[in-house]
Amino acid sequence: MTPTIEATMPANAWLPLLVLASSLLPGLVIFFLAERRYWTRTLLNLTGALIKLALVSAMLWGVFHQQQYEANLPLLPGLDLVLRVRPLSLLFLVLSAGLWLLTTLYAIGYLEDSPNRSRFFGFFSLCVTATVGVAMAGNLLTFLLFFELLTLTTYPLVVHRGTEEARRAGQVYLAHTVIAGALLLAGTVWLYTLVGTLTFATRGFVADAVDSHRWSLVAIFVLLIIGVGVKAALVPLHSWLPRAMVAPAPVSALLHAVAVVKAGAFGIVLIVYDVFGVEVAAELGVTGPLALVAAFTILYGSTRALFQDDLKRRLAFSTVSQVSYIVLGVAIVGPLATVGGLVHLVHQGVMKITLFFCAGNLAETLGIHKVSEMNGVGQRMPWTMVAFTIGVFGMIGLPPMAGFISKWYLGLGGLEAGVHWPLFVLAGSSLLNAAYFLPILYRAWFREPPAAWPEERDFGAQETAWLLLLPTLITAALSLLMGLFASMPFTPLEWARLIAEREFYRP
Amino acid sequence: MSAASLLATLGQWAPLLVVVTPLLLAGLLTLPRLVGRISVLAPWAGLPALLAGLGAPETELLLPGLMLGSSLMIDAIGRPFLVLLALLWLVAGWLAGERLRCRGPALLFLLAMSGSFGLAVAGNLMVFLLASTVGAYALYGLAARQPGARAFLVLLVLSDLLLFELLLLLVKGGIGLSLATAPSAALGGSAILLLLTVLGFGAKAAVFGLHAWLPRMLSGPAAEFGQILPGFVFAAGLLPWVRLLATGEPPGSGAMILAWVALAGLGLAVMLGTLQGSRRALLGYSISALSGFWLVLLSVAGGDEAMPHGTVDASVATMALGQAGLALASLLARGAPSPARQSWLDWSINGFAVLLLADALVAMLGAFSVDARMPVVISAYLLFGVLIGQLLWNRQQGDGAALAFSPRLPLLLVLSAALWAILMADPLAVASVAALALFISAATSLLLAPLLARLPRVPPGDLLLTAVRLPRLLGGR
Repeated sequence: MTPTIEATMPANAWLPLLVLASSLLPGLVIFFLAERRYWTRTLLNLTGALIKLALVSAMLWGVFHQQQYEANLPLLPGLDLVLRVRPLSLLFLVLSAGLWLLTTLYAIGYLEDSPNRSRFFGFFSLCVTATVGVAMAGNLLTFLLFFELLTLTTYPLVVHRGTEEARRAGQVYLAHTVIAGALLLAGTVWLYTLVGTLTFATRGFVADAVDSHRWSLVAIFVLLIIGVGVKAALVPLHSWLPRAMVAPAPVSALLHAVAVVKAGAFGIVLIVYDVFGVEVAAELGVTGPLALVAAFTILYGSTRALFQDDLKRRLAFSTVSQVSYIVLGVAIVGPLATVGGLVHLVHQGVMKITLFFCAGNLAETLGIHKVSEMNGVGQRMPWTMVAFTIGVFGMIGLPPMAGFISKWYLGLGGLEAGVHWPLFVLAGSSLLNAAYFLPILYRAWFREPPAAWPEERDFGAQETAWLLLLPTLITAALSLLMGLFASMPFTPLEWARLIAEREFYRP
Repeated sequence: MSAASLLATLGQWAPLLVVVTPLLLAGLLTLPRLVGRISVLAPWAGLPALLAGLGAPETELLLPGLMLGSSLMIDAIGRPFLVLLALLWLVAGWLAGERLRCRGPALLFLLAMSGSFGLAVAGNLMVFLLASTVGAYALYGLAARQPGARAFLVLLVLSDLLLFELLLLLVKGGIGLSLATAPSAALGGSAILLLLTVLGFGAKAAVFGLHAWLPRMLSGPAAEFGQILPGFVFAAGLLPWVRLLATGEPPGSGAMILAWVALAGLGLAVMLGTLQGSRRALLGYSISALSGFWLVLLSVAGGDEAMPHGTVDASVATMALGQAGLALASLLARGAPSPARQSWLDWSINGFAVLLLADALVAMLGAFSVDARMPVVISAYLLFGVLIGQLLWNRQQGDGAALAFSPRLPLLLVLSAALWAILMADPLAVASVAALALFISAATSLLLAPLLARLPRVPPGDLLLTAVRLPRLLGGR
């Protein structure tokens, strides 16, 4: 799969706008729907999600065949709102559009009979709108706008339950993200005053200013990375994420796999590649410290996960660790590490959403929230636990799961860059992953179940509602298939290779 | 399509078929209505592998879309292992009996079988790692409630990490992962690659120091593990050593150090084996000792200037290893009546199986063209002879009632091993010095067996078990 990306056809401005509208319009309509309009709301949600997926698939095909999709909307003098679809955008777009459909299905099943569903699904749709906006951003200003819109649309989801704990978690989330947003804005304005443009470009757009403004650029890099690093949950900016686990399971899935954390990691990728350019960033000496922060985050997150009895908190610290694989891949500087980091953007999303879906299934069906309550649950909910097992094996990085492919490229990338320490970080992280995930599997599969579950709901012959089980099984199957058939055309790996080739090898 | 072309196509796809057959059955277990039928078929899922091992031509099947590019093959080295594994899995299926009627055990059984066959037909190390993961974790699932399972899991995780590093370094070094083309060149005299190979596969080969899981798991009540575990050790631990070490460049002085370290491990395994109270634990230590023995031979193979390593015949060596595997499996499959109830048939089967094991050990030396006068080699034979004597003594204490079944099964396996020995009769003529050392040591051990039986017994798992229990003991005080 070696298509070229140069534009040979006129840009198509409509598709990016339609992708935005496919979730924005249903979201706005849903806000005004009465609670009892279950079918209308479901129809709007699913239609929007399916249309978005179809549009993104069409753009995937188009970009593969050298088409460009770009929309420019004048915003400020000299600054447009630019939506541009490139291979890197598509990697994130496919992930968010695909997982949004599955998360919507899951959320419909999860929130059945619960209050405030119109509010929930309204913000849910707006959240995905902001995410695809981040993915398609053609310049730093557009990115900033959608990135902050993401903050505003996810806050209501975090506090959706309305409890005191949820309110506090929301405050922490908002405090972190708003401050980070201010730093991101400051960095963006400063950068604009220095270089006079904010348009993303392959290998960055700051190279001309390196000699004259070296330290300013370093400071801007730090500001921008902190600005997006909060959402990416880089240590020590991560503390909002485990607290936000108070939100319903579909929101956790959204935060960890589809939108917020992924947007943060994607932001780091954009800043390193399309703002600074990876070679300029390396020349400025900022990639080394970024790699160290990522390495520390990987080990810290895994270590903290080891001591969590609350299942979702354990998964949250696992996310803190795993998302930094992406940052590590970017910061190692090299084509293979880049492939590893980028492909993990997708792989981690699919694997982690599987685990959160499973956690939601356990909570909704049996009232299980803690690891210590999971004894023998594999006998009661075998399909959910098969999916959980696949997700866990992927997180540890066992072949043939998707996580193995990411780890392979990250390790190889480290060796290619002439550094061995990433291998030790990966090995340490894998060991810790095994240490905090495998005991869960042992409990679930090999311990005797208790006489009664905490809060068991009856689903007849099924282990749980099919709307909860189906998305879980699909993402589990994807976690397996994306690893097993990693070298087939149109897989995340092949797409990541294409992006790395463009970044490092094309003149 | 004519019968000939159909057979040719089947032969070409044989490596895939042997892996996919158990996988397919495992997949069908997801359909509740089919569970009963599949559980009846599960014990027979190894039959295509047996047929492929016996009849399929040498072939390599490239699967570029699978993972990061994969290939499967049947070659002269893998074929004996495929036959060995197929036999062991067929017997294990028969032994498992009613346990395979449940969906969970049947699923794990089939996955472990598929992984096991994958090890024998892997065309590159990526597929090998995949097969090893599938086989080993499914095996853990089968054995999770057995003693030693936790130690097995810990060593498995550590071993896979070492192998991951090994594979990365092989790719980075431009050596590649193919097992089809000059696999033995992989190590190229690199100490770090050698260390990763020895330790990474050594944990699965239960080489001494990384062995604690094997005697404990074999001491558990499930009879089928007597067949499954030796198969796993041979395919996941010893086979890759053959492929990566057997005909490679001699790694210089490091080779002799490795040989002596392996010999020390062999010695400790022999010592602890003789102090076991249960026969199955003794056999567990025998397998560990065999891994050490194998490593001694691999370390010195080709190291003698008078015998260029071009003379090493890895396929014959794997045949000898297969014979040893069958002999050990037949010893593990023996019934466990009390000593007073043992018939002449019990004694004959036992004796014949031990003789076939001894014969395989001698044949290995011939296959490697190793100088039998080397002190390290003679020491290895002398040490292993002690275990041969203990196995001939045919002690039966400590085995559970679950192992009591008719002698037909061990007889079948012994006959298979005997047939194997006849098929590879050529190397039997060599290494009279080694054979003599083995004979003298075994005879001495047999004579001293009643005395050795009075020594205090060591629990299976020895050092690890002691280390695990130490905090509890200290806390108790």
